[in-house]
Amino acid sequence: MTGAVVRADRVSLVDLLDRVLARGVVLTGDVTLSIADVDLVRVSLNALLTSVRAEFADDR
Amino acid sequence: MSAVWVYAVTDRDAPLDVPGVRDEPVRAVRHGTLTAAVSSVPLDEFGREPLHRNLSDLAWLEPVARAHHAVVTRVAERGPVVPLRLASVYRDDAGVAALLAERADDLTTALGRVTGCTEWGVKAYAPPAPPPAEVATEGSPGARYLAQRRAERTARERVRHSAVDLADRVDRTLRPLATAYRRHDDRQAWPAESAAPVLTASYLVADDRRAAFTDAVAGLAATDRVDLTGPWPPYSFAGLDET
Repeated sequence: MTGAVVRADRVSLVDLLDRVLARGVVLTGDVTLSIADVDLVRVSLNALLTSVRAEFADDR
Repeated sequence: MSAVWVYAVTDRDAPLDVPGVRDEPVRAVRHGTLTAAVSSVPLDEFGREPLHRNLSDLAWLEPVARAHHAVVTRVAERGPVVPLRLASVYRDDAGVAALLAERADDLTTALGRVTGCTEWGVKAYAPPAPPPAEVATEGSPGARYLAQRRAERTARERVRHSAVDLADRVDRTLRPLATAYRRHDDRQAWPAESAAPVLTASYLVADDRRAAFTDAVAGLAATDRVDLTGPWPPYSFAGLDET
């Protein structure tokens, strides 16, 4: 398929996690308890990417 | 014991009609003209230690990320928004209000930058490799081997060139239509993984140029694989330390 417009509300989890985890503003102060960073979610992301690749391969 | 999850900061009323993480009601924390959309989260799940454990569990992460995005998106429907990074958790509402006060100038500047704009994600993929060139079947085995190697090298170069051309063409076409842009791909790394996009970029597009922008992407997509996602809240453009 050549080109596609994908609505954001059906957007893939990969694109969503990329935005909410890697971008978005980091606002830190004395009252900050935690903020996600990419290192913390690496295990999740690896699992996700592996499953996405498997689905992609199934589509072939 | 609970803590406060912050979704986004805006200069409009935060919507209270959308469920937050774990279906907790979303409320507003205000300071001056700024409003943070927040909700309570239990410390036994969202405190530093348990949170770090939970973030590495995709089954835990997905609904939380989707809930965060849903609130950010709802706030963005009302006006300019500065989305916070996932899992921004603070001690209490008073602490969040103090943070709004402390960073008021930066937040106001960031809100001004994204007012009337949405973010669009673009990925362009390299064209498929052309069929291998005809290689001489005559001559000595050594000569045939060298000709084969040369043909492979030429084919690889051609793919690389067309990929770089495509990335440049996409960027040249779209950048003038955008208020700001971010390139997320590592140009040097390509083609470490040939299935990876040759261009991954985000464009901040003013609402009155949205049609021109999406038309331009459609034009590019007529001849190449160029995928568009959006409109997104301006996750990539709400940084506080930018000018």
